Amino acid sequence: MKADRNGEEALSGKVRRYEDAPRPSTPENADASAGLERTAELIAAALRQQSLDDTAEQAAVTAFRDARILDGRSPRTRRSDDWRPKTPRQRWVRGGAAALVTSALLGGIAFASIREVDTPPQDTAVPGTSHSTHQPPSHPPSRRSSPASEPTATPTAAEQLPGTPKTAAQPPGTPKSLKAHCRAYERIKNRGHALDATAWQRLVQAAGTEQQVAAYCHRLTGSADESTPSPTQRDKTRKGHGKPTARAKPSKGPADRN
Amino acid sequence: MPANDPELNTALTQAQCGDETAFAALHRLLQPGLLGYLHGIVGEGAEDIAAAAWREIARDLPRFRGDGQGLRGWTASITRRHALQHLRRRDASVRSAEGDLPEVAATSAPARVMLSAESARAVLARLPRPQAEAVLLRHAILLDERAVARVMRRPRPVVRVLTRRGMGSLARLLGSEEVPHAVARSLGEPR
Repeated sequence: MKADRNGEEALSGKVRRYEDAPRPSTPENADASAGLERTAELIAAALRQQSLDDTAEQAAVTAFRDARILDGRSPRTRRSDDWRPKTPRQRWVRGGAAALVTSALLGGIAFASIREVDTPPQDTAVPGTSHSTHQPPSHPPSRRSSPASEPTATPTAAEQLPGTPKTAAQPPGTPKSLKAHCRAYERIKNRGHALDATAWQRLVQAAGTEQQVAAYCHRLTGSADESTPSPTQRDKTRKGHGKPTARAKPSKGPADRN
Repeated sequence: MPANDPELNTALTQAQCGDETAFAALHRLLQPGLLGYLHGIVGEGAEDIAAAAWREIARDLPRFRGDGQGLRGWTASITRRHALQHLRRRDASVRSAEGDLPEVAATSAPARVMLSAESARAVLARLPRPQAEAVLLRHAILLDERAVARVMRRPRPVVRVLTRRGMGSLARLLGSEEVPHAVARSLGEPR
């Protein structure tokens, strides 16, 4: 029996591969499953050994010929007609596509949630940095006219952050990003080296000199507050703001809490 | 047999180019397995179902993509569809008595153990149909497990279990005088 089994394994390795999946641990088990295979093959061989008649073959060939005559062009391959073995490359492509879709989905959700969280604080942050009561803006309607006074702001503002062009009502030169920089300047002027960054350089450029930055920011944010009807509730944030000589060097900041 | 798969591949390539003799060769190579499957599943009328299946195979062969082993699976799935249609029609009509199946009468040749086709069919008829199908697709048409799963439209683990149970039932039904010693020993042992 052993010799029989070995011979058949060589003959039909594909069929026998299944045997590896169950437990091939003990020799009894291996013997038993080999015996079961042998039984099944006996049955199958008994069913396969039936004599073939030529009429069936002739009928099949006739059908083949008729089909060739009826339509010469090759029809479309349906999914059920594709029995090509799956290559590793196909598997990679499928896996890659799935990973791409998943990451896009998760990324989209994450991005949407970020915008969701960020939007309300932006609305409240504007009145937080308001200075309308402290010093009335020198020219309230300067929102439109301010870009004309700073010619250098136009090219810099054009290449600003992606949030800028969303406000289509404003002319392209309106230094909204500069306003944002002003607000950021309020918050971080006494800390670290953030003011050495390029954005800060742009702000300085727009204001003229470093000393004029505070006043410039005053004007900008003040005029912005005029347009927004929100009241000024947090005036105490203004405390360190009034100094006209704001320094870029953080070490010189008098209210250094760090 | 997988041993003649190169022959099958060649015949397939030529038949897809329109060669009739190659198609006849395909028929000779594939028909025994398909007929064996049909005999085991539907019994009577297997030849008619095979003829209908072959008409469809002949018509749709230009659609097929794959190699010889894939062709086995493809033809098996077409044949299975015809067989199931036939069975549905037959089940809808009067349910034939199950007692007319011949008893398991083994005609054991002296040199090697060989079953008659009737005995094999009788034994298979006692199996649940999915088990018989899994065993036959595996051992008569010589598909691998993945192809059996695709033909039967079932997950591979299910197919594995079906095949194993089917073979166990076959061994039990055939009894010790017909099965090899290893099976007899395995049946005698507690599981």
